[in-house]
Amino acid sequence: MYENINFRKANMTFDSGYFYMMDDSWDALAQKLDDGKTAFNYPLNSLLVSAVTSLEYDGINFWSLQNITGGVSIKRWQIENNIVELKDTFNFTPNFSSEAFTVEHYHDTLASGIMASSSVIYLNEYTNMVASGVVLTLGPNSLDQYEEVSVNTISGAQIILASGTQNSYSINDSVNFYNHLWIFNSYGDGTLHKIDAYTGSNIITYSGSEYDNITACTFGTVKGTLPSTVDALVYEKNTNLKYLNVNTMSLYGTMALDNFQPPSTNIKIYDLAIADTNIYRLQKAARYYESNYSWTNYNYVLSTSRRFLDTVSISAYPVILPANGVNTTKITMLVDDQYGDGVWNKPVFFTDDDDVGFITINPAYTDYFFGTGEAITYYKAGVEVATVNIEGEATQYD
Amino acid sequence: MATENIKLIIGQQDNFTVDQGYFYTFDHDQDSLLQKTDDGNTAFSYPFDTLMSNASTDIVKSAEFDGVYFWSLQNKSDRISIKRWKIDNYICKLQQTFDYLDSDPSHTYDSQAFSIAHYHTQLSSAVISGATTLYLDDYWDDTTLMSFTTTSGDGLILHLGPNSNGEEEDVEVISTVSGGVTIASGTLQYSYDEADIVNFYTYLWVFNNYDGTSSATGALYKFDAYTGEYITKYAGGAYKDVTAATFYNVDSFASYGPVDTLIYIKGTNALFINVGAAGATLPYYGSMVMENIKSDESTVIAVYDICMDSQNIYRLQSAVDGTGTTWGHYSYLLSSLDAFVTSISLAAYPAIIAANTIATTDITAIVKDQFLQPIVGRLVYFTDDDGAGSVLPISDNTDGEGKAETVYTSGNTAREVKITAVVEQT
Repeated sequence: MYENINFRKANMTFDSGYFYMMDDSWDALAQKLDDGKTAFNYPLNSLLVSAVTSLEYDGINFWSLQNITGGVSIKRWQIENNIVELKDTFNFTPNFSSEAFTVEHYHDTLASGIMASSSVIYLNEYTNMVASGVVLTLGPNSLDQYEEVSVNTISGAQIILASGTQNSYSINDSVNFYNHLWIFNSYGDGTLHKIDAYTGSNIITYSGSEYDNITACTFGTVKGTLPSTVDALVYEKNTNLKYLNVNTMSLYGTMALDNFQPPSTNIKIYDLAIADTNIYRLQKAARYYESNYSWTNYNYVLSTSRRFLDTVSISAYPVILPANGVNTTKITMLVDDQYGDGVWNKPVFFTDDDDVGFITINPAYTDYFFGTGEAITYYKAGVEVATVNIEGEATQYD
Repeated sequence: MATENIKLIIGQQDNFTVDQGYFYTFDHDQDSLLQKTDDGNTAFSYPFDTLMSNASTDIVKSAEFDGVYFWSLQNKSDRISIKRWKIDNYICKLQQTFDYLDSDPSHTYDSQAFSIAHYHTQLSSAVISGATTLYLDDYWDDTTLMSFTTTSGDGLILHLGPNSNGEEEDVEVISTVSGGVTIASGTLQYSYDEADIVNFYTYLWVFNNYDGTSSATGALYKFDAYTGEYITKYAGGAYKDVTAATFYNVDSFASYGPVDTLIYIKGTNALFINVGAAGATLPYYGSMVMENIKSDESTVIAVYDICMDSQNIYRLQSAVDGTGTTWGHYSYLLSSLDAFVTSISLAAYPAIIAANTIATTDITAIVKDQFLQPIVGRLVYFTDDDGAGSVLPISDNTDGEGKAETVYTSGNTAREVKITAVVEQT
C-alpha cells in the first residue's frame, strides 16, 4: 500500500484537496499534498507547547485539541494574512481525558441578496440550526469580501443580526457557522459533552461506555448513508464508524471499517476527515488486500460512505442431498454493504466444482424489494458422492 | 543534488550577505570581513579595525548589507550586539555599536536574526555642489519615509554617491518638494550626475526570542538605526526562533507591485512583512514555501541566514534540500522570487470505486506556485498505473483557480490505483 501524507504528528483535517496538520515541533500549520509533500506552511502566532491530538476545520476556523494537566484544551485558530492566529482557548478540567472532539458546523448560502447595512438575512437550509449569539461568516462576495456578523434573534425564517452588514452579498453567497463542540471524554466510563462553542460552557453530558475510548471523530455532511445526505457527528468505535444525529442522539447508521489485523488487533485511528464520500482515517498501520502494513509516520487509509459491497455469506439448505442428478438444494447468498444492510439488486454469479451438478439460476440478483441482500439460486445434484464447493461472486456495477 | 558552493566554516562564519555577485561573511576568528566567490574561494579580505574576541559567543549570527554599510548581529551571553561597518581604504571599519543588554529590566535579548530597513534610488537630475534640492527617482513622495526622524531629532540621512570622481557623502533631509527633497543650505559638498546612487536606511528589526522578559512568545523589535534606541515591539509566536531574515525590494505580489519588505524564515516558509504599516500588528505582503525540508518531508532544514539578489534568494544551510545529506560547511541553497509551479494537489471524488470497467471518479488537480497562488492556463498531464483503467482526457488546462480535471474509469482488478499529474514549468 502506498504511503501517502506521511504525517509526523497524529492530527489531520482536510479541505479542498489539501491535508492539514498542526506541528508542535515547529509551531506551524502544515498544508500537505496527498504524497506527503508540503504545499505551504502557516506559522502559529501562539506557541503550542504540547502536541495536538485532534484537528478539525469548520470551513473558516481550525480547531485543535491538546492535553493539559488534568484535562484538555481546545483552541480555535484562523489563518489571517499568512499566519495562524489564536482566537479562542477553552480548557476543560478536571476529570477530562480525551483524544477526540469535533465542532458542529454548517455550510449554507443566502436565500436572497442583501445590501450593505442589512440587518436581516435569510438562509437556504439551516435557519433552524442558528441561534442567538451564533456568529455567521458571510462571504466571499463577488469582491472576495468576508465578514462575521452576530445573530441577535430568529423570527421565523428571518435571521436578525446584532448590527448591519458591512458589505453587500448576492443570493447564494456562502454562509458558514458553528455552534457546538462535542468532546468524547474517556474519564470514568465515558461521556460525550455538548459544549457551547462560543463560551466553552457545558450544555449537556451524555453518559455511556459507547463514548469511552474514542480516538477519532469529525463532523460533516455525509453522503451515501441513510436516508440521504445528513449532517452527522462521525466517530470511530473499535472497528465501526458511527453516524450520530446530534439533534436526536440516535444513529443514522453504523458502518464497518477495515482497521483490523487478524487475529485480534484493532488498528488505532488517530483522526478522521470527511470530504464528499471519502473518509480519511489517520493511522500508523493498515490492513490492505490481506496484507498488513505498519509505518513510522501517519498516513491516511480510505473508506467510503457510499454504499459498497462489503461482505458475502453463502449457505445451502439442505446441505446434504443424494447424488442422484435430481435433487436440489437452495443456495442463498447474503450480500451486505458496509452498513450491514443488504444490497439491492446486485448480480451474483455462482460456480460449482461438480462436472454433472449445476446451478439453475445464474446470475441471481439480490432482493429488489425488501433490501434483504439475498440472492437465491438452486443447485441440482450430480451423480457422484462428493463434497461440492459452490462459490458466489457479487459485483458492484454502479 | 546541490553541490557545495561558498563553503563557509561552521561555528565561525555562520552569516552571509551578497552584493554584486560576491558573498560576504564576518569571521570573528580571523577578524575580517571575507569576500567570497561562488565556489568558496576568498576573493578578498577586509580586516576589522576593531577586533572581535575568538570566543564562540562572538560569532556573528547574521550579516546584512544596506548598499553602503555592512551590519552584524552577535548573540552574546549577556546581550545582543549590532554593529555597523564600512569598507574604507581596504579596512572594515566599525562605525557604530548598539548593545542590548539582558540586564535591561524590561527586556531580555536572545536573537539569531535581524535586518536593516534600507532603500535605494538614484538622482533624477544632476546636482551641483551647494544645491539645496535633490530630485529623486523614487521615495520622494513617501511622506512616512522622508519624514523619518531619529530619536534624537535628526532627519533622514541620504547617502549620495559615489559620483564620477568616486566621492560620496551624507546629507540630511529637511523637507520634501515635488519630485525631490530639500537639504540644509551649504551641506552638499560634491556634484553628482543624473542616475548617481542614493541610499538610506531607517530602522533595525530584530527577531527576539523574548517578548519583553517573557519567553512564552517571541517579538519583533524595532530600533532606531541611527541612535539604536528602542522604538516598539510586536509580540507573536511567529517571531520566535527565527534564524534568518533580510530586507529587500520584492516584486512578487501582483496586488502590491514592488515593495520594500522585511523577510524572515519560519519553518519552510519565507514571510514578507510590511514594516511600513501602522497598527498594533504588522501585516504581510505574502508568504512563500521553500524546499528546506528533508526527504522524510517532516524534518525542517535550518536556514542560518538569507540574502537576496535580483530574483534569487540565497539560503545559508549545512544540509541539502530534499535529502538528509549534510555538509561539513555552510553553503547556499537557492529559491526564486519568480513564480514557479511548486505543488500539485491531486484528489479523487469518490476515491473508492468498483473495479468493473464502468465506474468513474472525478480527478481534480490544483496547481499552485510557491506563494500558494494558482497557476493559470497551464496544461496538466494525467496518467494512471492501471492497465485496464484509463484517464480521459489525458490533459487539461488549469482554470483561474489552478484546477484541471479529468475522469478515471476503473479497471477490472480491485487494487490501489496510482494516478499522477504532471505540470511543466514553461
